[in-house]
Amino acid sequence: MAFSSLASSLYNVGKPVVQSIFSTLKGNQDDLNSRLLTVEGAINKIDCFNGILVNVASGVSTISGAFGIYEAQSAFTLTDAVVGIFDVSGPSWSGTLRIDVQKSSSLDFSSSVSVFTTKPSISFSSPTNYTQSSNAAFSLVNKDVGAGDFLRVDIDALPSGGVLGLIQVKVTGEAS
Amino acid sequence: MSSTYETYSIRERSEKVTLCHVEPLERLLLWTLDSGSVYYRDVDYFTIDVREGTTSLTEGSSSSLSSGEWFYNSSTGRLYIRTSDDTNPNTKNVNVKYRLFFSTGPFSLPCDLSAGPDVYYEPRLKDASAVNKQLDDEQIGIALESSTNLSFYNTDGYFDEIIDSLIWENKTVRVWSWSPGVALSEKKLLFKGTIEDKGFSDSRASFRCKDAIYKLREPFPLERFSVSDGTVPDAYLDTPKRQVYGQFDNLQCVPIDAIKSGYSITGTVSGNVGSASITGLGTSFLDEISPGDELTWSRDVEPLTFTVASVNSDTSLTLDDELEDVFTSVSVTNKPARPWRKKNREWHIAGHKLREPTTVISAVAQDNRVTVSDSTDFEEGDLIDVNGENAYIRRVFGSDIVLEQNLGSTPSVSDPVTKNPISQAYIKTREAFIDRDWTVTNGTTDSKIVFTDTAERNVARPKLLSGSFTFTNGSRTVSVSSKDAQNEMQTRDWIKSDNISHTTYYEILSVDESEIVLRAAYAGGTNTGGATVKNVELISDESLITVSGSGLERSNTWIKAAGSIVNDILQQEIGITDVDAAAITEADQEAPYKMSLIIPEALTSEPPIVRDVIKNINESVFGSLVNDGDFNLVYRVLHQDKPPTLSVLNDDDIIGFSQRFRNKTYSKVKVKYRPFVDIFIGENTFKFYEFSSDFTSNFVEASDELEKTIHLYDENDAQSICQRYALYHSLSTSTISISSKMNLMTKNLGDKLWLSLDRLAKRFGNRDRQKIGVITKISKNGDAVSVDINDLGNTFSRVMSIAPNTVSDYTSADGDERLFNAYVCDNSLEVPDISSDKELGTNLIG
Repeated sequence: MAFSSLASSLYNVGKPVVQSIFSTLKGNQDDLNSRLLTVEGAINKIDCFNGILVNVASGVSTISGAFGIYEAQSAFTLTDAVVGIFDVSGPSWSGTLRIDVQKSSSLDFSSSVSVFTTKPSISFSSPTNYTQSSNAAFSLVNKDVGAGDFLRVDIDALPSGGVLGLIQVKVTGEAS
Repeated sequence: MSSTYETYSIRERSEKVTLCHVEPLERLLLWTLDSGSVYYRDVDYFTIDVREGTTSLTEGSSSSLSSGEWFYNSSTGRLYIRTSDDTNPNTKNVNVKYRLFFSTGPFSLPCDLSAGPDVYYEPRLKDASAVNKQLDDEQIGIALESSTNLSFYNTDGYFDEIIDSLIWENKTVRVWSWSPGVALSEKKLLFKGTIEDKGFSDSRASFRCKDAIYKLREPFPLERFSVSDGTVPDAYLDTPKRQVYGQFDNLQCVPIDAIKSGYSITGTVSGNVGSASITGLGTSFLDEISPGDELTWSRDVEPLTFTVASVNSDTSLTLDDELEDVFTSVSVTNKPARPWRKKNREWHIAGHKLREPTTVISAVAQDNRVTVSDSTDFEEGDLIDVNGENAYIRRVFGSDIVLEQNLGSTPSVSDPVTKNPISQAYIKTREAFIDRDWTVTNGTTDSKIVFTDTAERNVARPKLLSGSFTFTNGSRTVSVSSKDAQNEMQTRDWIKSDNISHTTYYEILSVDESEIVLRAAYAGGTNTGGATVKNVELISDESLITVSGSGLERSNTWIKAAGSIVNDILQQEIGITDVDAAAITEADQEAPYKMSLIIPEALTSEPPIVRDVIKNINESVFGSLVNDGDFNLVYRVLHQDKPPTLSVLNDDDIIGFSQRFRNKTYSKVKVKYRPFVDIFIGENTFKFYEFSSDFTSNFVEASDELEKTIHLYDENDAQSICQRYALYHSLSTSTISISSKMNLMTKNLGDKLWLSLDRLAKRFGNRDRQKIGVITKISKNGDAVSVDINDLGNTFSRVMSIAPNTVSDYTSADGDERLFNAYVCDNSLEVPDISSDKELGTNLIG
């Protein structure tokens, strides 16, 4: 049902509260909701991190902030996080490549929290070139990013057997 | 004889007749072979049913019977039977149900008062007391049981032979009102029920009867936990399994995989006198046993119990004391000092299937936006499975679903989508996650949550430890320096190296100050550095496990609204099938609120009686369960709408009336809704909402407060109901008692009446002498009807109703239109006609 204006004469003082008023209101609400759904899907995306990291080091416990720090300009909800690999053929790999995204209300990340219940990871038991992870699961509690919050990508697991030249990281959200 | 009951009922003089059917039972023997497998005997009374035991046979159309049939010849009084297996009925338990016919006058009428053969109605019915129907609460509730006393003449000894020899108790009785001046089809059912008691004297016989509503006093039927459900702790054995309607939050689960006094370990063990060593055969000591555990050998004489000092390998352990007996290849049970992570995996949720709808994708917009073919019962916050991948729903609009996050792989048209019956699960205060930590078994008779054996490890927070931890490839020993490991971890905790390439956690067997022993050999490269530890809180028999999800599913339908729940209870749980289906549908439309009803409310409590459960539902939605004119059960939701089909009752239509007012006003209403278990204190609680009525405080100056528990799930619904309680209790309630002729015979509890009486107190609002109210009490006998009409705190006059599109504006409307319709009010003066203040306080949102 298309949007239709509600004539002011319908709600002048003394007018009966007729069914057609409510029919029009419902129809307009349905129409607006439908259009909002479309707009929301089209232009609402927020790229927090989207790039590659070169010469990933090893022999440490965690690599923090390799992609810098993202400060949210407005509130949004995290919807996707992916880690990807390129050509990894050659070494005899084992272990896992895994990233984390920490959220903090300030630049002091000492009390930061992970936004994941399952961090994006790729198993290196038999890695396939040019693969992206598909296993990220966001925490219902921590997936919402407020205006002024900070996000940081950490690498908290690296495979052994070689040195990763390049990895891809993408973290996106939607205004909610 | 062509007038209707309505025209007959308003006549000054008319012959009023009461008709009665009573259906006693008798067991019969002395059958005579007729031919083949057909037997007969003569009976004294009209037969309507023949049973083998409790199974009714089929009524045939003649004496030529097939197996399992019977035939009664009403002309000759001969009853024929052919048993289900063609054997002699004298060897079986054959019961016959008769129908006896009584009236207040002699008549020859059909045996079924319709098209059956005529029978003689004995003019023995002395009188039937008035049948009373009343709600047990003025505004909502359950009809109190209708009852009647039937009295029959017995001066000629008619009942002497049969009052004690036939079975009358719990047998069906029906009573009608009729007149020879109208067609038999116009008869009105006054009462349908069963005989509760009988009385006898040389002059009369009597029966005290009650209707089906008395069945609501039975306990709610629930299955109970037994040993067949698994290893159930004694505290839960023989207690009722939960039944849950609607949606629930943090429902406490019951362990059915408990440790109790111990679990049997794999394999057998042997030991010698004077030795503290135990040798295993086929054992898995490293997995199943820890230092400090108690092993028990249950032998014929007194059981032998030992405490474990250390576990050396899968087949060797050391006790803390030397043995005094020898044993070889015996089975032992282990009572662990810390729970074992492979027990207490299964937890019982409810004694039925939980709602688990499925649909398919019909269109894909993006990785987190899909359209499905049927989104019924898919809601915001649900956890759904999209072709094997789990995701939470952020929003549903029509058939479009927006997910909280993108799916890992783009879905396809026709991919299946299933709503998980459980959306969240907690191990004490920590949330556990689907697939990684738990799965659900959703059977038709039981629903269970099953935890993985790493669930506790997964939900535990990692703790980084500095110091020097040396993990050696192939070894179970981790050496520790510059840290007292005993202060940081214990058996059954988990540890991993902090090297970025070492991601595997290892379960700890034992800890001392400078050494940690693992249950499995370290497979990573030898490494010295820090460590990450997870101190796990293992699930025990007493752990608090709670889940949130969707309640009972019956025949692929989510039973979540009040009307459907009441219908399910009546039909499925206590077997009352005479329920008005159309009324249930309408009740669900009027009160579509999602309930959160848990039976029993507290674990291990005995089930409540059915009546109390329905009362709780009624109080949540302003519902009423009443009998209609045919004594079918009707569920209604009370609301202030004024059906345009109402016809007015004037002074000429009644004998008399009286009006009384009752002040039951409250300035504040507090409701408890959405029951749940507080996972931090482990106790049952509710969400709370309270509403203060400025109108009642300022104008009525009431100060009393009302508290209610309403079993609704959604906050918005709870607020609406709470505010509605406040509205109903913001002014005095008026009850108008009316005595009438037979013209109100067709009315029932919950019906609305429109009164226009010359001396009715002028109503709030338009100040005319009209009022609409709802019947809360009705009394009928063969001669007269009296009703009580309640105006719900004058809300019928005060609350707006949506009007038809064609009605007049307020200034042109007559009194009838102003009674039925609502009008737009002035923003400041709040009246539809600024030249008058009569309508002040009307046109409210109800």
